[in-house]
Amino acid sequence: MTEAEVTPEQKLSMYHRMLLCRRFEERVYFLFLEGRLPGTIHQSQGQEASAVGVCSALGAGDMITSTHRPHSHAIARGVSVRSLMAELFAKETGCCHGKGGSMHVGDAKAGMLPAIAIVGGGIPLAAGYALAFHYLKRPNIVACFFGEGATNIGTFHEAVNMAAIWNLPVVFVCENNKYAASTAVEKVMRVKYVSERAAAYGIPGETVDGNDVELVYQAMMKAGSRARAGDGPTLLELETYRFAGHSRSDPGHYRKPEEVAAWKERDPIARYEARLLAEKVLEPGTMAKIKASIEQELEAAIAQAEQDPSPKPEDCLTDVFAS
Amino acid sequence: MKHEIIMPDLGQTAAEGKIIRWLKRPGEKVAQGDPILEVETDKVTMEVESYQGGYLRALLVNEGEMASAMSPIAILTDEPEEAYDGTPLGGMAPAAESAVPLAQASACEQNASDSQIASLHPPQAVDHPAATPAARHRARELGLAWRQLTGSGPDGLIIRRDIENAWQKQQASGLASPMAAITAKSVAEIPHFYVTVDMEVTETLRWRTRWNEAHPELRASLNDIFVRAASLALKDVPRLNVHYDEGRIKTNAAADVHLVVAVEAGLRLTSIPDPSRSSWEEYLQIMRRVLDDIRQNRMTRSPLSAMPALALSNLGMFGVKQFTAIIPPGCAAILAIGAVREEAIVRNRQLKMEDISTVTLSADHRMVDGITAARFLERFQMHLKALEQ
Repeated sequence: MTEAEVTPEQKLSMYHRMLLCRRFEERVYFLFLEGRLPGTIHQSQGQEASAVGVCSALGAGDMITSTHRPHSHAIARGVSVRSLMAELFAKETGCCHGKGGSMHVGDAKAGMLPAIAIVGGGIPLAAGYALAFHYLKRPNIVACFFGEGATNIGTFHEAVNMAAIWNLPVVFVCENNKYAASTAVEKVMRVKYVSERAAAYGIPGETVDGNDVELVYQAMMKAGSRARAGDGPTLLELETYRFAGHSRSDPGHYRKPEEVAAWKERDPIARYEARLLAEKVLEPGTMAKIKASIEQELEAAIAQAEQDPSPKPEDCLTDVFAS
Repeated sequence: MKHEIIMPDLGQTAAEGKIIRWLKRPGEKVAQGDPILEVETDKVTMEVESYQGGYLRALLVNEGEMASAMSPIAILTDEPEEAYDGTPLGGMAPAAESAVPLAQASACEQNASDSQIASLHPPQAVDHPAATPAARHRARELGLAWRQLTGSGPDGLIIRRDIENAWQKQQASGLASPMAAITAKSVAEIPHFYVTVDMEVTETLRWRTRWNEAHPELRASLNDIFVRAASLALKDVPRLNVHYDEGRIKTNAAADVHLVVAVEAGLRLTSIPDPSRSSWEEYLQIMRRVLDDIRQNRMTRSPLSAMPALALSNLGMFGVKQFTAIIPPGCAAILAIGAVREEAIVRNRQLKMEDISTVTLSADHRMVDGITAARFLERFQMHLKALEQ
């Protein structure tokens, strides 16, 4: 099949989204250091192209599942920055009413199930949601994000196998950022590519440069069409890298500084920005406007979140159980 | 404009960290996102970036010291020479440029450039041998300085048996030597400060007379009353009821009191478990039993799970007017009680006769500040004046 055409509007939109993801994470990081935000964070600087590329290929009614590193997924999917920021501040106005925090952000109405922080926990959920789409004869698909570490978890095998035998409308999106917390992937996996594992389930597997948002988008469009057509799941491996540590308390001593520097050379946003400027899709004036609007949006979200009310003690049992 | 940099909450289980190294010196320009210091948390050593740009003016915590999360650790200003309000921590002198000695400052620069290499090999900041929790616990109970010991466990690990052996050796060599070791260690390690107050004990003496008339078989000494009142005051001022353990400040669950008792051979320390918990009768009986055990050289194992925060030493019976005491290792403070004397006090232009005992609190300035010490003494006085039946 032919590659999906990426229009200039889409390009600008993807650039804008990626930048919003990056600046959101950077602001959040400093808010943590300042002690203004509670809890812990797992940040996704460097992985924006995979989040935005995948989500740009989804439509209304589609669903994503996410991980303990969900901020960029949520922004890429269109969960409002205001409700995300409020959630990180544990405020009532947050997307989980302040009861989920960083690792559980999500908004089913926006097309993102609240993230599951348990490694591999979202995979069976995605298969289940895809089964529901199939059963209800909906035209929608599920994009299921997880890391390469999760592919060594039992739920990956069970859920991918079941989705494969039933041709469920789901795309398994493995963001291979090379490290499961501090464990290098080559220490715990004999195959070179996660996508090779697709062969075990009789489904297509593809490895894509996860730092190239257009390549990600095109690969996801292809896998998505397959899933929508009832031909079953695809295992999409997006090779990427997180610039930050695993969590706020991880200095990343297990990674060589040269390795981090080499990946920063492949920064998905800087690369895309240069390309769009060269293609004249992005003009310096537009770029400055986008950047200013992002700062404004984040500033407003932070100011609002800080003012918003905290959940009330008497509401501690609402929204926490399925009813 | 002045900006305080706070210690980020980086720990997984403890809300504090040790400052391993400052990567910037006072006077240097700092951009937002520049690594500014290295912190050792309960799990890992990591560089921390500054969330604020400006000029680094003062370091409030020295290298090697602990800082609790959210407490200010450095001051930045927008302009390099800008004047700023510089008394950052209540009562403590601002640790300005002098916080990083010049010799270390040059090492700082070097470290900053080597930091990438250094970060591959996080420093093993262990300045004492490893000891099992049981061994440390026993050493605390005995007031034994365990860091100097050589362990007999695997890799020189200090185990409980090593503590017992060391204690027996100390015991065999007479009581003077543990006292020598303990007091020398205290004076060397603990930054003492002293607060002295004249306690009015007229009411206290009246209460004791009444009590002793009613309970001739269970008489209360002034010392008994002081210990109980001190425990009550400790409950009122929990900020004094803390202990310093391997660089951490911990709050005690109970208001126990450590008592310094003179025996013929020297001094002994014993713990009175929460003297203000039980009734006066029960409490006085416990005191009798503990003091008898000590005087007959029966070492009772302390049932306490933590070292009491407060010790008490009383030389009043020897007519000493006032003295200062050395804080036993593990305690936060010690009360030194002087003899009761009659004094003429002028109050509201009236001359009044009062019984006075001069009390000096020695406190460990790593954990206790002057206000806390003063508040404690205020509550102590209050409880001495209003003893319950």
